[in-house]
This record gives sequence, structure tokens and C-alpha cells, in this order.
Amino acid sequence: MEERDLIKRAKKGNHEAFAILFQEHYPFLVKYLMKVTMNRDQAEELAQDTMAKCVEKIHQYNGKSKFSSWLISIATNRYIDLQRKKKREQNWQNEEVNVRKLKWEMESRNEEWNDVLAAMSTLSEDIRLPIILKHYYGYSYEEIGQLTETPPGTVKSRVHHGIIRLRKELKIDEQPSGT
Amino acid sequence: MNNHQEHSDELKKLLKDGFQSIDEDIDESTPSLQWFEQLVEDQQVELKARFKRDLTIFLLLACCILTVFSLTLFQMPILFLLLQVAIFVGASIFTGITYTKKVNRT
Repeated sequence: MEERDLIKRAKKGNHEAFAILFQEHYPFLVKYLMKVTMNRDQAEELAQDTMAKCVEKIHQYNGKSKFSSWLISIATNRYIDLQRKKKREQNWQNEEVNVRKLKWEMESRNEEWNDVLAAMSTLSEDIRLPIILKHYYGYSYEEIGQLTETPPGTVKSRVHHGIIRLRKELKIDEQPSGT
Repeated sequence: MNNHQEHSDELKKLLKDGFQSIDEDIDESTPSLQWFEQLVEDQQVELKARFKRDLTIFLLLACCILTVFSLTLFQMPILFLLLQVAIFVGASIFTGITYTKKVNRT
């Protein structure tokens, strides 16, 4: 069954259509949230929260953007709301704990904690989020600005400074260009 | 421009490779269709309950306001007029403050 038909049925309140839609998009959603939060538990919790919100707001989906993009916009808003609720100090401490936990989880599964993950984990959430949206998912500065309720100029500046830090952490500029 | 594009592609590739291990792990742990159906059902039940609660509160409030207004209108017309003036002044001040805040923010 096509996605459009599923959305139509979901708008009428059909459980099965919702379930199929969510099952198809769940990996995509959790992958995005894992990259943003660097915490598996939080990513799964936010994914559930996003799907719950989606059930509530499905009538507002107009089909102009992809369903996955719409989910990303809801997930991003939920994540930003969550971050606002926490105090900055506590948040930073939590983020460090999250990163350590993710590193430990990956190492316990004999998976590599690579330089990119290490470098991304050093960035604060307001810089990591636009970099992932811009350079991993290919959103424009304007679209990221709308998603994060930030002026596009600020997004551009955050991405620019984040990339400089990322390149420094990854020592990209120090590597010979031929390799 | 080309240099900028090159840097952007290089970063995209780096991020893709770096996040690969996270992505592979999630692919293997998607819950079953029944789990998603239950999630949707629970949410729909909660939404219905919330709608009923909000509607009840709205109706109760409407009844209270109507009762107060009809009582004052027929029993104490002066109090009714005073209430009308107070509400008008209050609403104007509230709108003014909200508008000033919005202008200052932009």
C-alpha cells in the first residue's frame, strides 16, 4: 500500500495504517534522534513522544513535504522543548553522561567508537543539531531555521563555527590533501 | 564555490561513515507492528479522554459565566455595568502589554 493511502486512512483514525507508517519510519526517526541526542534511551523516548504527537496532529499534515520530513520537524520541536525544560548546567552534565553511556554501549558490542562520534559529542546540542540537519540530511539554512525557530543567519553561523571546530577535532586540515 | 562543495561532500561522507555503526544497530531493533498499534490505540484513548475533560471544563465555565452575568443583569444592573467596564479595561491593558512585548521581541 502506498504511503499516501496509508496517511489518508490514518487521518480517518485507522490504527493499522498508523502502525504501518510508524514501523516504516521508526528506524529513520530513531537514527536521527540518536545523532542529535547521542543517547539511545532518550532517542527512543523522543521517538515515542513524536509518534504520539503525530497521532494528535495528523490532520495538519498537508502532504507538501515528505512524511519523514514532517516527522523530523515534530521530533526536532520535541527535542528543543525538552532541552528548554532542563537547566543549562544540568544539561551539560547529562550530555557528558549520555556520551559516556553511548560509548560504553558501543564498546560492549565490540563496535568502534570512532573519531567522528567523539568529535560530534564535543559539540553542544545547538551546534550539533544544525550540522546534522545541514550536512547529513541536506536541509537548507532556511528550512533548519524554521525547524529550530532560529534566524537562518544564526543557523549559518552556528554551522560554520561548528564545522571549524569539527575539522580541528578531526585534524582534517592537518592531513595531506592527496590521502 | 567548488572548494566549498568539495568540503561539504567530504564532511557528508565523514558523517555518514562515522554514524554507520549507530545506524546498523537501530535497523535490527525495530519493534513489531502490534507494538505500534498499541501505541496508537493508547494515544487515541488519551486524546479522547483529554477532549472530554476539556469540553466539560469549557461547558462548566460557560455556565458559571452565564449565571453570574444573568444574575447581575437582572438583579444588580449597576454591578453588571461595572463588570462590563472592568472587563473592557482589563482586556485593553492585556492586549496592549502583549502587543508591546511582541514588538520589542521583533
